[in-house]
Amino acid sequence: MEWAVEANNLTKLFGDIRALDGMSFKVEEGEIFGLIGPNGAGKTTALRIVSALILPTSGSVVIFGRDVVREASEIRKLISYLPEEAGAYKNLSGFEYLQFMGRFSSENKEDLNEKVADAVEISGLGDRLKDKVKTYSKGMKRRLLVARALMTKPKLCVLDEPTSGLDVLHSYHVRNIIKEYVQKHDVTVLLSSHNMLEVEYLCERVALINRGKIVAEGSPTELKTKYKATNLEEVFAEVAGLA
Amino acid sequence: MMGTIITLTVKNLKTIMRDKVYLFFLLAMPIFMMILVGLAFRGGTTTYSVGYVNYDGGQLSVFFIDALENSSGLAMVPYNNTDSLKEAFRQGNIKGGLIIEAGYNPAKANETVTLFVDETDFSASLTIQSTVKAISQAFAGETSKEYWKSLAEPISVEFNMMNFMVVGTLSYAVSIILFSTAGWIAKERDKGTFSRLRTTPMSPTDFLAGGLLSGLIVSLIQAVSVFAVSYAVGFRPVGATDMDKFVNMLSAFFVAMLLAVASVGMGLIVAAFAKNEDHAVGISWFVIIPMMFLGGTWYEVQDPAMSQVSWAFPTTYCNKAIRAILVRGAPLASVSNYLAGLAAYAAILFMIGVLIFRKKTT
Repeated sequence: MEWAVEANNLTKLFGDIRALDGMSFKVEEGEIFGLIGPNGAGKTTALRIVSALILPTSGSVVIFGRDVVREASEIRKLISYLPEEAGAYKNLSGFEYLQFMGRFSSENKEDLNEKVADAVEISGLGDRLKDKVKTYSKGMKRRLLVARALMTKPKLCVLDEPTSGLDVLHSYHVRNIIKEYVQKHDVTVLLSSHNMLEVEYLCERVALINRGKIVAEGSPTELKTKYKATNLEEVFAEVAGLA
Repeated sequence: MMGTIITLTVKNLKTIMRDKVYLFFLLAMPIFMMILVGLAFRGGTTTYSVGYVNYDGGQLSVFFIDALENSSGLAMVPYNNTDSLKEAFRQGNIKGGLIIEAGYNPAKANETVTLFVDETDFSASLTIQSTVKAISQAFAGETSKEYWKSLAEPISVEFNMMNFMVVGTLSYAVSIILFSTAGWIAKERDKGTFSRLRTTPMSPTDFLAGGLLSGLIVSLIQAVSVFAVSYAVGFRPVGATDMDKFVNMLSAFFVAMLLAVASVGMGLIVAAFAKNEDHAVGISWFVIIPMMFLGGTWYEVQDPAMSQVSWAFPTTYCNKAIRAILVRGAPLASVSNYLAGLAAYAAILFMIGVLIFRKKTT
């Protein structure tokens, strides 16, 4: 079986700070895999390495058989990345923004129109897409950005805290978008979150990260059974030695 | 690749043109400055105020003052007495003073006429002294000896303060693309939009080429706007025919676009080192201001050492080339030395900007 993502002994140093410390994990094709942990655990660093934005200090990541360091330009054709701090161009309308981003992965005008139409449907923003992004609420911006991430039908979608800062309704909408889209288009999703309830709802398997290392890995049900916990927060507290 | 560059260019232009703050600095401010320059300097040839006290009051002395008043370059201002004349000079209200004593005699003017000038203003002192001397000689019936002959075909030069300032305002308008380049790149980085772009098939070269192209387009719009306003307030480029003037304008635009490339390059360098958008904007002005003050934008640098230092700034080459073209009617080929310097600057700065940017973003 070809793994969608194979991270092997990843280490990343920022000066003296060891953000990742020998992290290894594998993501199956078509699954939603979560990296969960507290702030500063190394989730974003791991996702940025997978997205070919930064280089690992040591170790390797292979995405659908391609190395992220040696074949970065090929990787970029396969993936879509949504950073936690993502913004959109405030003076463009939502529609203009989707058209702009869609052009990078479209072969022709018809292809672009199809992608944008998908994004319009995914976002659920309707006529508000004609308005400038600066008039959007935080939740609306996030829905726009998630739509942009998914509209290109990437083989791997990397989402860093997809519902960060969103209220209940927008979080609910975004989670449903992700789940439905994956099922419909067989996209592999690698996401990070520190919201354990969200992770339990979305992810088929998770890896718990603490201080740059993976401290536990498995499906939410397996982990809760193994550690005799009622939710993933308790699992994390147990494996991180906080219990 | 070209499609990606055009996509990025269009996006950059939309975001710049819809941002009121950038629009103000890029377009409104240079246009406003040009209007002020035109209003302040549209009198044409510079006129220097010379105060006078005529204790003689006779017909000859009055004719003498009239002749000075009618000469180009002097505006005669009467005062009641020597004390008030000297006080006006000390306050800087006049550039020179003339005292005509009772018993004025053109043949013995050096015994009855006192002249003093502001030696700190080289141009004023030269103009006043040479004009008073010429008219005094004429009144005394002396013919001055010529020590040179004129060109058979005079070279037309339209040098006055407004023409000088128009060129400076143009180069200022174009060079502030440095601040918008640094600002929007830093903003892309701050807002996470650059990270998004980096995970697409777009390359850093595409990104920078899109930035350069949009910067050039904005600079062209600035140059056209500033020229249009300068024309409205009375500036006219030198040229024997309308076609010559048009060609000179196009040549000046070309030089301005070279400065724009250099400015975009500097903007890339600033953006690479700036921590955020505010930081980028602050550093940009720190770079622009020395270029303006030492690059011959508002005045010629007088200090010999600093005039050598001024060659370190691309604005110096741009100002000298455009002044030669628009004010002295020099063809583009004859300013090739300035063009070569500016082109070299543009290429080097842009390449350094690209290298540093790529290093910091890879």
